[in-house]
Amino acid sequence: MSSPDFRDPRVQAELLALVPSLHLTDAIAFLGGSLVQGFGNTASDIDIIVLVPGAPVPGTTAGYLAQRSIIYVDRYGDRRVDIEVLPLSEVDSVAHLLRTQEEDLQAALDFPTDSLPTLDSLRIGVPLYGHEAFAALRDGFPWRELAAFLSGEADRMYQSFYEDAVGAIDADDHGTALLTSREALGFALDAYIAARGHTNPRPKWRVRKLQVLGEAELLRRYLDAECDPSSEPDTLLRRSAGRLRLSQEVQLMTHRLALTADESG
Amino acid sequence: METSLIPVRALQVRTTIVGKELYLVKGTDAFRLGAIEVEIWNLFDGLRSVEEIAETIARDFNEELDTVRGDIAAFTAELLDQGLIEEAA
Repeated sequence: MSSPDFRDPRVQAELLALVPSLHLTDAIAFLGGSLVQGFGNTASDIDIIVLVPGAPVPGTTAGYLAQRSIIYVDRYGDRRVDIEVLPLSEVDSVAHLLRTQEEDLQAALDFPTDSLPTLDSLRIGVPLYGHEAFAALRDGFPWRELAAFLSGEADRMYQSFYEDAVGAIDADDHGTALLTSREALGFALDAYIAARGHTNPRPKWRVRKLQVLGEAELLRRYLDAECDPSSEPDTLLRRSAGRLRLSQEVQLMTHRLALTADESG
Repeated sequence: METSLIPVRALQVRTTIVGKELYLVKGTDAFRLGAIEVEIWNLFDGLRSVEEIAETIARDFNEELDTVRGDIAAFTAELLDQGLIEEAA
């Protein structure tokens, strides 16, 4: 099952026709998600995001009412299509939080992390409706601040798992060392990937993101570090320490990027 | 100190940025690294000897190897003393 050609105007028109028309007044509709990003596979859904002025109003068509959005599920050929209708103000408020978080700790704490995939879809998205408004929204969004936020969040998680893993190794707790050192290395990589400017927040695409960033050698070392040759306790403890050492190196790469970014203003 | 020693970063040490400076953090202690020290720290990977690190730094920064070797040996000894690096197994 190949991915539809999302640049094809006919495909775009057919996908837009799946969006209930009551949501399109003054709206912005665009394609996003893993297929548009080039990460998807035969199991991937097609994602359509619709940003509407005000709160989305449910129509008579069946749609799942989520916390702040309405979600419709449809099909396009053999693929499932998820259509999410969200208030446009959510993107604006996140942009505001990103621009002010350095001055306002509470704003950072209030950051709605469940909106992160939608934001990345806006960045990579293919517009279906409201093209000019889509371009203005995308061009005006603080992407650099979003990447820095993602990197900082991943770094915080990294530090937490790192400390747990060091403690587990000290205690000869090989199983916990295995799990926590893997988490630590994963978050260290996520922090680095975001520091490089990638704003896809999903860890499951870590390998693909490293490929896109041209980090072939780092990816090779990451996959090697993930693959333990045996489940013997001594082996797991030694390999866990190796993962932590690689994570130290990755964290240093992230910090050097941050320092370079500061220097360049 | 023998320059054949192979140093590796201690697991208890992490890096952090404060302002525009990079620090090594171990417990409640923090150690500021200068620009070249950051490069040296990055090479404490448990694979390279002090001699090999000195050769890399001398080449990358276009400095005299003898001078660099002495500086790195002193820096390595200081970090070993502080428990920030260990001799690789």
